[in-house]
Amino acid sequence: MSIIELNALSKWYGEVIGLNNVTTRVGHGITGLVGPNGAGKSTLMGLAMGQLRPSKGAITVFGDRVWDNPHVLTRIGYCPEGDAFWPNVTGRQFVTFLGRASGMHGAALKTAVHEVIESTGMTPHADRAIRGYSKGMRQRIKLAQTLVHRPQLLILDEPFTGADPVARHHLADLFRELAERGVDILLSSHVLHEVEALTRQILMIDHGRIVAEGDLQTVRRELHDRPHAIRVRLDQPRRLGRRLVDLEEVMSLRIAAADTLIIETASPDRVHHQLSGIILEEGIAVREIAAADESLEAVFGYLTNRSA
Amino acid sequence: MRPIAALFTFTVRQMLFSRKLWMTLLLLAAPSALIVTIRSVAPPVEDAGELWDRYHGSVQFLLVMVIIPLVCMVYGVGLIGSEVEGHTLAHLITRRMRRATVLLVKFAATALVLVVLSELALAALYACALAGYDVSSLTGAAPAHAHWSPGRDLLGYMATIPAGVVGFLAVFTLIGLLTAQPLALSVFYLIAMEVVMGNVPTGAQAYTLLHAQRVAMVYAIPELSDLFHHAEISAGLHDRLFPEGATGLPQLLGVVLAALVLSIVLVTVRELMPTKVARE
Amino acid sequence: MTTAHTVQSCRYSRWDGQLSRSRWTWLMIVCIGVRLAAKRSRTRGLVIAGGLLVLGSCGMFYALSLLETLVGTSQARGLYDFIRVMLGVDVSGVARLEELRGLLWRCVFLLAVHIQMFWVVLMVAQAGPGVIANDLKARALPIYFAKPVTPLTYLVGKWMTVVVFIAMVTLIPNLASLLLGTWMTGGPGTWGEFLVLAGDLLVSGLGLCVVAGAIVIALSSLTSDRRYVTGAWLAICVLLVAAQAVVRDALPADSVRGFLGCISLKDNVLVLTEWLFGMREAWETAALPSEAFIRAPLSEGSPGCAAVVLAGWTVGALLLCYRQVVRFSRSAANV
Repeated sequence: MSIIELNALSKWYGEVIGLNNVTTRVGHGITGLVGPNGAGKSTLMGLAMGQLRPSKGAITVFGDRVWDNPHVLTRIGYCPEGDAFWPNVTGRQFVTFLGRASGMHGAALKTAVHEVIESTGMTPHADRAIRGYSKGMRQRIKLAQTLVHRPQLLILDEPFTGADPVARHHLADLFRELAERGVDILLSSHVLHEVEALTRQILMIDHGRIVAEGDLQTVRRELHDRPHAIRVRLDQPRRLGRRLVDLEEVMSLRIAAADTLIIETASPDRVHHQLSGIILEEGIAVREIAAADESLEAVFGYLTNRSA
Repeated sequence: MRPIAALFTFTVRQMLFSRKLWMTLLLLAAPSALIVTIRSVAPPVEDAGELWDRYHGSVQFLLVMVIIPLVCMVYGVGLIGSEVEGHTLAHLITRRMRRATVLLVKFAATALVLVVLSELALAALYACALAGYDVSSLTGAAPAHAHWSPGRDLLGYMATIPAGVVGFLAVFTLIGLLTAQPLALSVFYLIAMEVVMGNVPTGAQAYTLLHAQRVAMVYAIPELSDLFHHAEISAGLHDRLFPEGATGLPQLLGVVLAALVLSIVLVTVRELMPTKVARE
Repeated sequence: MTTAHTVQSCRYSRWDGQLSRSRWTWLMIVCIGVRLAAKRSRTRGLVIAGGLLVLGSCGMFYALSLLETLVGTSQARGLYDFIRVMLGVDVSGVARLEELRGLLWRCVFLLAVHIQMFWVVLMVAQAGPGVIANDLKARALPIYFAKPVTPLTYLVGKWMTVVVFIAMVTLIPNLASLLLGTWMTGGPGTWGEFLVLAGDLLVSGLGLCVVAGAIVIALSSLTSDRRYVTGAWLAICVLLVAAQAVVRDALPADSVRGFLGCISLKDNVLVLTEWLFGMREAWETAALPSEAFIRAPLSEGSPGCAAVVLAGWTVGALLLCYRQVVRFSRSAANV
């Protein structure tokens, strides 16, 4: 069952198209929403949160419309991208108020506030005014308010912005833990390797259109116009190369470094199957065999260049 | 109810702990400061009529006509606008409250604080203008002033000023939602419609919120009618503007309801996003 | 990195000169500020509407010159009524109107200044509140002060930005009216009178620009929300006028001749303008009977007190603004 459904959804701002006839579903687990600047990620998230109205088409979350619908909205936690704070409040007051505004109260609220502040590492700073926070602290307190009312779905717009590497690692662990507990997460980020470390389910968007969705590996395999690159690190690349050049599936070979051979092929599975046999026959010592371009960054680059 | 109560108390708290409050207090204290200055310079008043003019003149031409509408403009235009600009509206409309509820709760909280502050300003002005005077021992210039009861007038003002505060706040809240740059429209409305049209002695006066408030005040304090009886205004026009028995409340309520209903429609239908997308 | 991507190959050359604090940086701040504010259609509309006053003034000068040729005829009746309504004085009993030309031209400019005061309130409310408040909101001040821009340069630049817009609806239309009116009708009298009047208009216009500009930039430096600045500016304009009316009503006339008669900024500007134009002496020289005046020809108030009050507002506003700007320049985090 999908959490978010978009049906022929379009959104335009005057002459500028934010989303263009998008039909897709976001399922359970963590889904990474990636795309270049101006692709439509924030527009999609705004539509999912009921902040924007579709110009055409429909969007439902948990099977229900989202615009001005508190029953659905209380099941969602939203972390906006930029600064969004009231003046003269401390972190704890900020989280507590939004917890109350979500319907929590009493001891349950107090416990929840304490827990989310601790889980985001903001306990030492919670009673200070937000205006004195660094960028990373602001991001973490925003995440705290996202989690305080124990939502079923988290919509996180650039949650890693401003966080230092330690904090990012901490946040990624938090998201994984939440996903294991059954919370669904839709997050957007420019930090592609961190999205990749969190999930293989991606939704790639460019110029208002979905250019790829689903499992990252599956998406990669669908890119027929881009041969797969296999990187082999070994002592005698030319020796292996001489054997591989005869294979029909091999489209090209490149010696990238003294100990690295790059094989380009449209049929990586068959090449992998034959490669191990050849290596054994030749008795070549191999240190690494890996896909050189199945990363999110590589796929992202292929798809956005193609759609440009 | 709890989210509503939380938003209500949060809004009140934000108002009371903001720097804007200092400007509001300064403005509301200005008539009292002026009266104190006048009292320190002028000779002691012996005529009840003169004291009456001084007190009611300050209330009407400073507090009611200028300061309260100005304060309501600053708060009303920013009721939702400040949340939109600060990007905090997203937090409020993605909680357990409808957009209309958010608007009404913020409106109620703001109105409550402004009403309380206005009443305090009124009480301060009363104290500054009349403290130390025994009205019964002063001679009256007109029969009405000989039976003047300042306490009753104060109660009359305290009963009617909240209606004006709520009315102006509702109108400026609507203006704040109508356009992305509401200040120009608000300034135009305040100066052209209320201050100018509300004081020019023509029938058009009757269409202003200021006039509706005056009608209510004349109902509560009948002697106030003398204050609004200009030499240029004919008796017939005066009677039309201040009909016998008119309370002004239907007009005030009508304005408040219309403004709030329109505001609810706008806040429910419009996206209220802070940024415009850059055109490529 | 290959040779093709080195810095030198991109024809970048390091600046060898010294970075000095230019004396004219404030002018650059003015240019940017004016360009940004002028992008708003409302600002342009106010400037154009303020400029339309030139037509009104020239119309008045034309009516006066026409009246001079029609003095004593029946055709002049309509013009006499027009002058009576507009300038508040009945000149139908004056045989040689050309002797009063200088005085009447000054009356026309005084009327224009009356109208322009309203325009100044609107123009400052439109173009003034954001000059510093927007920089605070956008956190642009660290960028300014990372350049060779001193707090004084910044202050003068922002101040002059507002002055330019006020001048567009006061000083420039007045000078244009003078030039156009002189070209159309021969001017207020001799060349000496023309130059004196031009000088008076320049001084009074600049004075108004400087005072109003100083007040609004001081308010703008106090907050990042231009809404509050607009509210405060309107409060100062409208409230002081109302307060002055209450004081005049409540106190005997003698008590209101001094500083208590100088509460309203608008009245102070008018009093000083009349003093600058030499209106009191001009009316005394004209020796018109008291029945000729429909309304009081001169504002109540002492020019000396008015000047002190306006100077106090200006200096106080500038000091406050300077203190704020120095604070901003020293703080990396700003407000």
